[in-house]
Amino acid sequence: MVHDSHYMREVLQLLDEANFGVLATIMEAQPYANIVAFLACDNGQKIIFATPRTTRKYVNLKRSPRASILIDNRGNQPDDYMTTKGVNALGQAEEVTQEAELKKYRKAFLKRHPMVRDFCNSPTTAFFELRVDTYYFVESFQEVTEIHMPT
Amino acid sequence: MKYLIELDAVSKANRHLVGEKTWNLARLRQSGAKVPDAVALSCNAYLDQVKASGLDMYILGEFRRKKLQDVRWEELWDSSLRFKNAFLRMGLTREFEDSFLEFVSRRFKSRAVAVRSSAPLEDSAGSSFAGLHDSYLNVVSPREILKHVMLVWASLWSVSALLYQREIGLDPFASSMAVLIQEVIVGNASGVAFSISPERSDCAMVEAVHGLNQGMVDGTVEPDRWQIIRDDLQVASYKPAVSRKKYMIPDAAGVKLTSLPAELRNSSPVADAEAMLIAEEAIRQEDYFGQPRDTEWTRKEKDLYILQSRPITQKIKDSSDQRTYYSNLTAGFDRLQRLYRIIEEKVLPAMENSRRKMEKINPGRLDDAALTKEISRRRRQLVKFQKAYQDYCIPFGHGMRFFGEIYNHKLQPEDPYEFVDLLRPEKMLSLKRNKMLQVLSQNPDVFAANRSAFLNDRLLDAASFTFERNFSDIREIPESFFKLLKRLRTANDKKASSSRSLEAAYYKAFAADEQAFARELLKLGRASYRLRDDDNIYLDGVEEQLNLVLKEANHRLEQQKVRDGYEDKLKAEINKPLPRIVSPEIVGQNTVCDESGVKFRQLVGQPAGKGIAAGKARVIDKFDNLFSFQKGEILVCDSIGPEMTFVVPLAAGIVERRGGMLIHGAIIAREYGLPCVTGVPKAASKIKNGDHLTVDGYLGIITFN
Repeated sequence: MVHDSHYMREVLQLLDEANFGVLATIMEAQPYANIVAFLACDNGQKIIFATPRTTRKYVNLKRSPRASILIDNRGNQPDDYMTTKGVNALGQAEEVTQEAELKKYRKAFLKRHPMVRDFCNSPTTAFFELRVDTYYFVESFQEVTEIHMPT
Repeated sequence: MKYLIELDAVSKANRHLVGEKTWNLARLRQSGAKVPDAVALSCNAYLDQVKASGLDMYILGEFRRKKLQDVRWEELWDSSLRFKNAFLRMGLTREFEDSFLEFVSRRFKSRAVAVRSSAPLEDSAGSSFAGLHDSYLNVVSPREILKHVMLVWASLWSVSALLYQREIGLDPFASSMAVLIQEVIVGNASGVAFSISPERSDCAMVEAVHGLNQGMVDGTVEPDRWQIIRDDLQVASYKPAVSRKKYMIPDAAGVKLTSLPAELRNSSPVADAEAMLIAEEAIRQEDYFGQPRDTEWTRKEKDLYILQSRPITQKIKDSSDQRTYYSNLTAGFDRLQRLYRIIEEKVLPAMENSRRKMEKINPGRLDDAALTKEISRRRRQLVKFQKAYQDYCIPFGHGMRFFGEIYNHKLQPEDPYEFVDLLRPEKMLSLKRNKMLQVLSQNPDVFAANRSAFLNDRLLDAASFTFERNFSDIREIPESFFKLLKRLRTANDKKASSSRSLEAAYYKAFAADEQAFARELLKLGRASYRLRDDDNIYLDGVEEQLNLVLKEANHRLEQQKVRDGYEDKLKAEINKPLPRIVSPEIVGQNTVCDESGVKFRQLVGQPAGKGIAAGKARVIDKFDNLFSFQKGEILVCDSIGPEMTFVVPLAAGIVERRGGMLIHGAIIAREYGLPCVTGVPKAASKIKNGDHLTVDGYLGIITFN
C-alpha cells in the first residue's frame, strides 16, 4: 500500500505537522496562489480547506477544479533551503455540499484550527476537498519523489 | 585591534574567545613554565569574517546537500577540499585585513611564527581533538601569517574534524576557531613528555629527537625514550632510537626533513639529567592542572620551552579502528614518495611476475595433487597481493589529493578540481585497453579466429585480463561480446588533454628554490592518479589466474575425473571463499527500493564530470550486463570497477552510488569528457534499466524524464 511506503509516511508527517499551505488555482491562464489553513484526511487521500464564496480562489476552483497545495516545514531561516521538506499535492478540488459531510469536516477542521471558529461557521464559507492524485515530495533541496495515490 | 588578545591578558572571562590551546598556554605561563611569546586571534574574528564573506551560507549549502549518514568518506574529503579552497579565496573585510596586517608587522616584525588552531572544544578534558585541526610552523611576513590564519580557519572543516563530527556529534556549524600566533623557538632538541607513562603507571615518559618535533609527531623520526620513576625522578629505563639518521629543521616552506649531521647520530638528543628535568616539569604540570598531562617541549641551548600541554587521552590502538586507517591516508610527502617507490619497484613488478609465472603453468596438465597445491598457492599469492594493495596502493591513492591541496594552496583556482587536469596521465592502462579494443573492433572476426596471435602482444594481454576472468576460453566468449566490439567502432574517443598551460602556471607559483620540490610533487601526483587505475588491473590479473585453476578443479569434479583421496581436498579448496579486499565502507549499501506507487523524479549526488546528457539507463549489476551496453546509454552502477571501463566510451553519461570527485568512475568520466554524477544514494536500485534519465553533471542532479 502506498501509505505504508517510507515516502508516504514522510508526507503524512508533514501534513500532520503543518497548519498552512499555499493553494494554487487557475485564473484563466494565470496561476493564482493563496495561503490556506488545511486538514488532511483518509491517509492523505483528501486535503480539506475552507474559503469565503466571494473570493477569487472560490471562483477559480468553480471554473477549473484542478489545483495544487504546497505544504512545507520551512522556518524562513537562511539554512532552510537544505533542511526544508516540502510536498506538492496535485488533484481535483470539489466543494463539499452534503450536510453530513460538511458537519464532519467542520468539526475536524475546528479541532485543528480552533482560532477560525466564526469563519468556519459562517454560511458564506465554503469547504473544499482536494482529492489528491499525485504528491511530489521534495527533500535535500533537489531530491524529488513522485507518489501516485490509488484511485 | 579588538580581536587580538595577548597571552598575558587571557583569563577565565575570555577563555571561550581564545580557545583551549591558548587558555592552556596562558595557564602554563601562569604556572611558571617558560612559554614562547604569543597572541591569540579570537573566535569572533572567525565568526565575523565568515559571516561577512557569506562563507557560512556557502558551507551550509554544500554540506547539507546530503544526509550525513549517506556521505562517504571520499565525499567528506572532497567537501573539505572545497571548503579549504573557499577559505583561501574568501574576501576579508578591509578594516579587518588592514588592522591585522598592521598589528602583526609591528608585533612580530620579521620573526618567524607558528600559526596554530585553538578551537574552543579542542584540548579540553574528556574530548581531546589533538591533530584534528591544522597548525603551521615557521611562517614569516604579515601576508603569509594572514594566509595561514585562513588555513587554520578552514581546518575547522578538515576531513578528520568532519569525521569526528559524525562520530561524536561535534557540530562545526555551532563551533568556531581561534588562532594562536606564537613565536617559533628553534630548539636543538624537542619532544613530548607524559606525566604518566602509557607503558608504566609508576613512571613518567619522555621522548626526544634532535631538531624540531614535527618529525616525531607524524612518525617519520623515531625518538629516544626514557621511563622516569615519578617518585624519585630516576631513570627506570632508556631506549635509544634504533637509528638516528634524519631530523626536522625550519625551512622556507615550513619545516623539512633532512639528514642528521654525523656528529649527532651517535648522541642522544638530551642527556639523562635533562630528561629527568623534563619529566619533573610534566609532573609539576600534572600537579598544577590536577590531571595527567601530555606536554610538547623544545630545548634551545639551556632553556626548556613548553610549546603545548593537554590532558592525556587514551590512544586508540585497535587496528580495525577506521579512524586510524583514515589518518594513515593523510600522509606526508615523504611517506607518499616512499610508497610510490615501493609500488613501482616492488609491488607491481611482483604482481606481474607472479601472474606471468602462473600463466606458464597449464592447469590441465597438473595432476590432482599438484592442482590442489596450486590452488592453495595462488590463493596465498592473491591474499599477499591484496594486502600489499591495501597497505601501499590505497594509501598512495591519496597522493593526488595531497597534490591537490598544495596546488590549491599555491594557485587558489576558481575550480578546486582544476589540478585534476594537470594530473591527466600520459598512459593509463584502462585507456590503453579501450584504445586496443577499439582497434580490435575494426575487425572482430580476426580476433575471434586467431586469439593466440593477439595474445602475443603484451598490450593486448592487459586487455584480455577482464575477459579471461569470466571466459577462460575464447569459445566461451558470448556472441554479445563481439556485437559490443562492433558498437565500440563508433565509440567516443578520449578527450585531448590541455595541461600544458596549467603546468606553466603551476611551476610559476613556486619560488626558484622550490622548483625541485614542485617537480617531484607533480610526478608524485601524476603517479598517484595513474596508479589508482593501473594497480587494480594488475591485481585482477592475479585473481584471474586463481580463477583458472578453480575452474579446472570444478571441471574435473563435474566430469568425475578426480583420483581417489583428492575429491574432498579439491572440494574444500573450491568452497573456500575468494579473498576479498574489505573496503572501508561506512554507509550506502544498496537496499532494494520497491515501493508501489512511488516513482523517483529527481535524485541528487555530487557533480563529478561537467556536462549534460540524456539517455536510457543501463544498470550494471553484474558483469554480463556490460555486453548489452548500447551507444548513448547512461551507465548506472554501484561503483565503476576497472573491469567495467571498456564500455565507458559508449556511454553518454555516468551515475554512481559511490561518491567523490577522485574515485575511479569520476576519473574515467573526466578522461572521456562525460557528464557524471557520483554519490547518489541507492542509485543502482532506484534507477531501473531503460528509465529515461537526464544527467546534469554541473549540478549533480539526475532527472527521470
